[in-house]
Amino acid sequence: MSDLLDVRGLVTSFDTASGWIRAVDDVSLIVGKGKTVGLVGESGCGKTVTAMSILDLLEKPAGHILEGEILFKGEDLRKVSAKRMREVRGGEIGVVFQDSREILNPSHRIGKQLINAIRLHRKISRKQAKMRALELLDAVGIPDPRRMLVSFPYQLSDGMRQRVMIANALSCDPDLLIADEPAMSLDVTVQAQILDLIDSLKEKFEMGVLLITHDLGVVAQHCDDVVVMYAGRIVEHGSTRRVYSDPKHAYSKGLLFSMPRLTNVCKHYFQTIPGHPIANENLVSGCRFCQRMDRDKSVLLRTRPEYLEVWGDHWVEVCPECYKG
Amino acid sequence: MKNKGSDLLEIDGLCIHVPHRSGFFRLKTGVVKPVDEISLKIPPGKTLGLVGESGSGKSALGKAIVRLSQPSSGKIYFEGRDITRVRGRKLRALRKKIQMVFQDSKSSLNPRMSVGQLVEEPLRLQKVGRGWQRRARVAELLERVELPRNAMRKFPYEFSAGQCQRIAIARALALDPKLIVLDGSVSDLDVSIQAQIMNLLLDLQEEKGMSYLFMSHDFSVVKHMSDMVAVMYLGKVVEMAPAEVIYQQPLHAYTKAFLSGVPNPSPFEQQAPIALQGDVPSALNPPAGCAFGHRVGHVRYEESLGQELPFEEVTPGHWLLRCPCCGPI
Amino acid sequence: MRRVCGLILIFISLLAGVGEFFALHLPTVHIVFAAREIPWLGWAIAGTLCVLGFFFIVSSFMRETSHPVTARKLSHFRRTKTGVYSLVVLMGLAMFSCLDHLLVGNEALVTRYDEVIAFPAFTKKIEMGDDYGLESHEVPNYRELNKAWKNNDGNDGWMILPLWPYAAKGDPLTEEASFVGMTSEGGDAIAALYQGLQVNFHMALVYLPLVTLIGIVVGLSAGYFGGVIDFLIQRVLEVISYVPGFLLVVLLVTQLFENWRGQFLYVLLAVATVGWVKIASDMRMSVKKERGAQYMIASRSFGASRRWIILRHLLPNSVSAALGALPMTFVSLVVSLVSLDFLGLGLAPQEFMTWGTLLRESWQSEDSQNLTMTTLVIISLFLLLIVMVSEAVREAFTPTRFSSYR
Repeated sequence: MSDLLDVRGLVTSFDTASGWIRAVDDVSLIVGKGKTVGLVGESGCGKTVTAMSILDLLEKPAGHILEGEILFKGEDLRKVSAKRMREVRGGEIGVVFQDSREILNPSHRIGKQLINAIRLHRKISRKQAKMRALELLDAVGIPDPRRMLVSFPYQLSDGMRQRVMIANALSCDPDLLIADEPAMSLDVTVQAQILDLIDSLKEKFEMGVLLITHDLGVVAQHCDDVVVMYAGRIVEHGSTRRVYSDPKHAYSKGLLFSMPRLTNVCKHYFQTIPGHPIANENLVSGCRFCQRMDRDKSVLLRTRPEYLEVWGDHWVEVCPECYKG
Repeated sequence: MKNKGSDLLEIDGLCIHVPHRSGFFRLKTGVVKPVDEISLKIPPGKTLGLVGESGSGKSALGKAIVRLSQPSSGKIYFEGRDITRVRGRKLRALRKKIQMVFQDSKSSLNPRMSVGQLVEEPLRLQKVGRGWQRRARVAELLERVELPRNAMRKFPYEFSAGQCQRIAIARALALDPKLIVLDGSVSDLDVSIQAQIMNLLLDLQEEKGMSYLFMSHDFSVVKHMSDMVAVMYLGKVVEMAPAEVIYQQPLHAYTKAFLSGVPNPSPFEQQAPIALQGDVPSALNPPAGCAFGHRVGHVRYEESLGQELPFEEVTPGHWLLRCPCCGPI
Repeated sequence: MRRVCGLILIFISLLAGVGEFFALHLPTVHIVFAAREIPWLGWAIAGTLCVLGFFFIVSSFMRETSHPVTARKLSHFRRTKTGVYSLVVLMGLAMFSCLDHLLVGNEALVTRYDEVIAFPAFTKKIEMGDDYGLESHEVPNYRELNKAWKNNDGNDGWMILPLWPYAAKGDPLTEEASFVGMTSEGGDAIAALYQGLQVNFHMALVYLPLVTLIGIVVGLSAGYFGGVIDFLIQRVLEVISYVPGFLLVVLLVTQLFENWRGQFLYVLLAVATVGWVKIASDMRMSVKKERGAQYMIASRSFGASRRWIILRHLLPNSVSAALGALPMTFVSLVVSLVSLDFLGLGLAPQEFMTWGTLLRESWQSEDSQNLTMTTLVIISLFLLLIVMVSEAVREAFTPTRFSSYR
């Protein structure tokens, strides 16, 4: 099976002041070896929660995975022991988070953190771990790896810190890399570097990458497949070229149209998606995009539309209003 | 050269130098120059877009124009008058004409005040109209920014980020300003909401004939909103031209690198971003000469040392910070 | 809610005025006119309360609902059951202590003798023995008088006594009224405990607002102005917190103003000298946190003056954090008072019989074990109540983050 990660029917729920809310409502996605899958959506759509669910890093006691299978290399991560999960996390699945400032411990030197991370998953000596750390820092394009080992996080710029995070994530040769908005807080010039770095490392180490972002441009440039999420559900997925050239769901269409592009005519009005995001507790069980568009048909709001393959490997949530042939 | 009559806002050689103090005795150890000799013009009814990464100094410039901070040297002219050192009553009167919309909408609204009170605040401070007149105006403004009528009694926490930004815009419009400075006002918003707000801003500009100074780190957004675009790097404007021109014919090396890094939302066109070594240098001790040349290690960097780099109009409407390493000869 | 408060305030002020005017001695409200040396003060206070009451009522009509940010904190508070119950009990105790001589006292509430109805407890005029047909021209012992009348089948007259017809001091007590014992001033211990409770609330009524006001002003100055002012205020705060505050209070009480010792206000002010520190410190931190908030910068950009920003933006948003320290300030007041009285340095026992004084007396003698134990238990329970309220208040103002998803 070339599928590294196969998530089936994931449902994650949170206990909030207004009751249990499904942040992720029946999500399925596949990441193959050597492929980058972009998980795209606006804030609050559940993409980060999906990633946290896969890694079992949900905030307890509020977050719970209710249903679903998370098959990683054939193994269901929901059913493994805590010990095995710890091995997988970091050892076989590498994670790059959004805000490097919060992830790296500010009071430890980079070298110490890297070496500890390496030795957590591999039984090698300190010296060997140090060699490996230097290799990694070099691989992520850090100009002076030796100096980096003895530096503290606060001495680094954002771009450097993010590279260190990537080095950290790659320290044990993972098969899958989950990157949650890896370049969000970075400047555009640095952002491009980081994303290209992930691409090249993916090829070099033959990994699969799950790239979570809100930026449609990033997905276009760096992802082979794209999964569009809205309000906890997947509304469309398929290869990037297919979905971008022929978006089927009204939401995907709306998103693509409302993106400002350099090629746009200046000071021209956008075609926008009207309305504003609806709070989690008020979401209906039917088509949620219809809810946002304020469509009155109660039937649509009650019954959940089916998710079907409308073209070769191009799947859409077929709500009669949002998907029209 | 300086046609003070025609432009709404003109900045001439503006500098903001902030002394950097450290150590136990807080001695001055260096100078940070968020704004270093900047000259710009904004005609009435037009938008000047300012694009730059973090540390480029856009926010500092915006604050100086709204007179929330004092520039160290240089001049700001508004409607032909020098407002650089204006204080007291004149400053208050000026505030009616220049307003600002901030990046984080939620934190620019006092959470304890109702929406009606928030939008009314500028009117109260400037003593415009009586109570019922002000409230009528608030209702009118909220309607203009497409918020529901009952929003007046609600509080910011009940609204989403996009709606909060609308509230902030309504508030900025309250005094009928001639110039609005938008500092990253759409940056924190989701794409669909961002588009809505941009449409709203364009609409308002057409209706009221205001000028905008639109600042962001997102080149696509800035280009979309502006007539003229100025690119900032480390406190200096490196290039300024009409929006379409700067996209088609960028002259400065930094502009080119920036543009190449913007992710192209078309999967069929793979772009090759210009690789830049190193990171944005700290504004604290900027390297002498051309800062960008230093960063990319340009061969002609040394030639830029010790020179005053001129900011010139190379072709009509297209200004460039001439430097041996970055600009064309 | 506001309307109720307003009505209560007006009621109190009217009652106090009426009481003073008609030379009545009404329960609790008579303290408004307690300062005999300054006759106009009582009227001033009554007047202020009345005005405040009207203000509350009027403003309650202007704003329909309570502020939602406050409402959220209140609802959070209501969710902590221990906090709510403790507060309810505390308020109950406060109202209980308001009953004053309606409940505990050795003067009869109503008497009827010789076709004359009198209200000895409520009038300033002191009924004498011969008003009731006794030989002596002294204040009668109403208990015995009642017994005597009862024996006589009520032919002489009848009276209604308070539920616990003993006083804390100056009571012609011959034997112990209860297992708890007697006080040195010749009074019943339970009545003394009751008076101790009353003193706590009375003192808190003046102390807490005073200390809060000082704390807020100082904290605001330190947080807002920063620089040298902040530096100085911080040092003052540090000194007062590290030096045991109580020692400072003792020093004040013993070394200054000899002729004011034992007086209510003097003790109160002495304790207040150190009581404001926690509130000021909390306020300072809160102000510093809120200071850089964008909405204040936004306000400046449309021409707000400093005063406007402080009053309209800074203060409302930072005050609530500082108020979290209020219940514990009450605790420290009670503890300081008990300690001072125990050392004999606090309120004069001739005037006020407080818990500390009781402890002091009973501590020394062998046979007042009961009194000691009871007093200690009562003090502990009272403080426990306030502490539980304090915990709930803190929880309401700074909710723990991970108990549920936000």
